[in-house]
Amino acid sequence: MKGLIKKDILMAKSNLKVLMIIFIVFGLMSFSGNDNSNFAFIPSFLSIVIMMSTFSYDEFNKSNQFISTLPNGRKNYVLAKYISTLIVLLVSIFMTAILLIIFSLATNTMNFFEIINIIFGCIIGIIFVLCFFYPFIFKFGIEKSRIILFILAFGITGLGGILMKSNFSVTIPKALIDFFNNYYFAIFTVITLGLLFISYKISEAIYLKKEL
Amino acid sequence: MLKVEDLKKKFIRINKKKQKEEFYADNGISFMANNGEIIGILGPNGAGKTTLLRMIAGILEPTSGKISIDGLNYQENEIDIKKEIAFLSGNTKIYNSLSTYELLNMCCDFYGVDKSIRESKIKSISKILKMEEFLHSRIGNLSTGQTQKVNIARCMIHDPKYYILDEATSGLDIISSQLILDFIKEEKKKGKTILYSTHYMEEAENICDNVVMINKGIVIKTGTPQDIKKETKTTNLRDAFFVLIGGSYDEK
Repeated sequence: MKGLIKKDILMAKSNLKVLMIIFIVFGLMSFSGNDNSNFAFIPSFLSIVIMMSTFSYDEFNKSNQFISTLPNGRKNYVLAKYISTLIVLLVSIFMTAILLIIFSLATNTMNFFEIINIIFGCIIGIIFVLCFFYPFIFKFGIEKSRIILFILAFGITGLGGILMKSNFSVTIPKALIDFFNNYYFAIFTVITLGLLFISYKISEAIYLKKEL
Repeated sequence: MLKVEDLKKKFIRINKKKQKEEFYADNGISFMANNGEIIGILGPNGAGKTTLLRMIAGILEPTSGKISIDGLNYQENEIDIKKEIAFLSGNTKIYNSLSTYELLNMCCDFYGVDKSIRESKIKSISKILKMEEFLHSRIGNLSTGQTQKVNIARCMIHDPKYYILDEATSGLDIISSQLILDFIKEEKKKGKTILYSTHYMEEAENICDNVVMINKGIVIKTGTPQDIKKETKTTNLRDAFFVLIGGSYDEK
């Protein structure tokens, strides 16, 4: 499996340069003095997009067949995809965190707790995307999954817009809000890890049955 | 020894009336390959050769039937079997952005080749295949023949007992295909078993110890090329094939 992880990182290597450029732009923005915390998720999001591109390389190279001939190849392939994506994501998050710290020191606009919140939000948000899309990719391939990604992204945005226009509101009990405010780190961590496990198991089941 | 017994593979396809229908790409294939033999799997396009080899290589799961490699089967010993096989197909592309060295090193990781012998193994394979001059070049920049050498090197890296070569010379020029044929002969000398599918009957006639002729998913003849020619009273396997299918080829 180490080999498959290495393969994905090597495949993504050329695209990782794009990520480096994004970091530089992000870094320059940090020193411009504007609050750019809203853009902090971009490097992490790009890192997952880049890792998704490794599926394209695999499809283009028809390497799925080759991987199926490796000892435990199919199981390891799925696990390696999740692990390599998480590695790149965590490196990206780490670099984002460093930039945010530099930004906060330079502009004095953010405290440590806010930085932790932003980073935590990035990790959770991107892992949610990963959990949702990877089973689709294993089932339908990267091209069809990209279309699904776009349809859903526009669909959710559109639905949000419609709900906002229609003054849709939900009353959430105050006790629930308080509970959430107190324990959201733990709640999201548990949900994310659970989702990650379920997503991995679904992807594995799909890929083991897939006829290549 | 490799043994295939009554192997079947069912697929679903859309017919002319745009309805789903089941069909058997392979419908009860049986044959045996002894150690050190080159077995030719022959037949026209669509005969079921690729499906058969994919099942033997563990890429596809058979609908029914048995595959036994050195007495092991895929249900119980998948990892052990896969350590002993190498699969090469005519349409295998390799990672263009990697160098030959990176690819071979990666394959060592895939098969758990010991780190202490990796360097010497990559060096010796590149020497055998005369790849030293482009060992560190990007695969995307190599010629077809050089790329094919890399493909062969990838198969050799874990020193498998069985090679499964699916139309490995298809679409290659005379030099590149000769490279594959030489490689097959060399590996046979080392006692390796090679399953070699092709629709180039002449090629098979020259290198195969035994051939399995397939048409429409069923075995129509097995035996040595000499025996098949003798039995069909023909002078080459191409004519023998037409005699065995009754004179003409119906693609339906």
